[in-house]
Amino acid sequence: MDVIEVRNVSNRLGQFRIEDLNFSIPKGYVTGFIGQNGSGKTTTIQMIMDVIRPKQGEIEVFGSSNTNPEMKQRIGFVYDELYMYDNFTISHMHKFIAPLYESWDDSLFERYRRAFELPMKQKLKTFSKGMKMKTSLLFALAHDPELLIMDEPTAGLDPVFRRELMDLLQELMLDSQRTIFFSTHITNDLDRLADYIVFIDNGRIKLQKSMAEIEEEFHLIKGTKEQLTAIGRDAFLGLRETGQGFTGLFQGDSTPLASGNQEMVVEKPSLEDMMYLMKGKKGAW
Amino acid sequence: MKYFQLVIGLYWKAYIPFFLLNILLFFVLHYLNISPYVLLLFVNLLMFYSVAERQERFHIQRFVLSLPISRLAYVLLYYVFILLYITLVGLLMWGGYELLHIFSSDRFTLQEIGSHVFVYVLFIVMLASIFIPLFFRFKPETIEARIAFFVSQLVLFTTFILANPGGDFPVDYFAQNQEKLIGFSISCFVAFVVSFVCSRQLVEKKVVL
Repeated sequence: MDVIEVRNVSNRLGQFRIEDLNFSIPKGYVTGFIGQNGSGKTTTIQMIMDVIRPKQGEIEVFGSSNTNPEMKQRIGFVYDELYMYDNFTISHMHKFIAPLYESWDDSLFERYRRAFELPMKQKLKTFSKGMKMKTSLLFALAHDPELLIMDEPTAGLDPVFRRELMDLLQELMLDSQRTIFFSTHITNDLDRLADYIVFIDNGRIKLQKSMAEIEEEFHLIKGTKEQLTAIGRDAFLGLRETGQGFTGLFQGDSTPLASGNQEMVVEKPSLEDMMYLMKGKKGAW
Repeated sequence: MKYFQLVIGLYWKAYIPFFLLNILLFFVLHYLNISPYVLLLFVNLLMFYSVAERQERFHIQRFVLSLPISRLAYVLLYYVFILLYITLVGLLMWGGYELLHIFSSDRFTLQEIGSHVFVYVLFIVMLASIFIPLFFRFKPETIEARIAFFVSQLVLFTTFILANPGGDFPVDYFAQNQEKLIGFSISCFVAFVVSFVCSRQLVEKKVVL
């Protein structure tokens, strides 16, 4: 079952276009939403959250239109920064956010607050970037959401806190009913966490696959210029050439390529390799 | 009730400084025997701009629209909040003045303060009717918003001057003429309702942040 379904969604924001987005997020898994800065990740997430409305297409969350505000009862959201006045405190925020959620759990709120070591009465402007992110998480998790939507939560965070956040998300996924949709341009975050990947580039979905499929189907091929000429440039989804040779992203069975070319190196591509090599290429995989 | 709690929680703190400034200036200027209304209207103009600018800077609309509250409820309750805020300002001015009149009748002598405050409150309602949808449509820091803000002020104050040539801010003009006061009240009410309908449409169809 899919928790989010995005169908034929298009939008235009100034010069930037989102074109014909189609993808779905399966229930009970972590889906990483990757793409470089400005590729359309935030816009897509804002459309899923019904913060902005697409000009065309439809989005369903939990099987009903995302314009129904009730579906947000089941969603926890964390954006790239804490969207709140900086002269507010957690205590003040709690007073007007908690009553909005039917499943709000004050004991859970208190448990996370203590775990994150967040002060109740201190103004948000005195918080570090990490503390602000923890505050977002605190309010996102305190109503025990079935779906957690996060937009670049690790951007600008130090490596230690990023690691802690990944541990927390892994812990949350012990509950197999929960779904996490998580956008990032730091693909290392997803290597040990994501089950599925959706890759967006310049407002278009370039790839939607499970990590297992990606591991099985995609190969990073490194070789000489002569080898590239022999194979042909069209065989690759993405290609970078240097004076010495080439690095290409290949989809499918790479055994015939490797067997005929003794010196060619075949590796598993990282998500970063894939993002780098597929950027700007036409078509979707 | 929970939705109204959200609106109050989000906006009351932003309006408090202007609320206090309204009350303080009203009494101080009256004490000094200076008509406070033109200055107070500028305070309110500044208030609408400042609240919209802060709201934009901290992405408050994105935050609210991510919560389980309908767009209609949000806009409606925001208008209710503004109306309550303006009513509270008016009541405190009127009640406070009446009280001071009892204790210091040599300084606070104006008999018709109730109708003056009522006209002033109507002017704030008119300002709110213009600026709330304006800032739902444009980000306050954009050139479009600044131009619209400037032009609205110009139109507003030119109208005031034309309505009362050579006179003070036209509180007396409306306060002393029953028919005109009723006409102005109805205009303000209609403007507020039209403003709400426009804001609702703007937020409902919002496709750009």
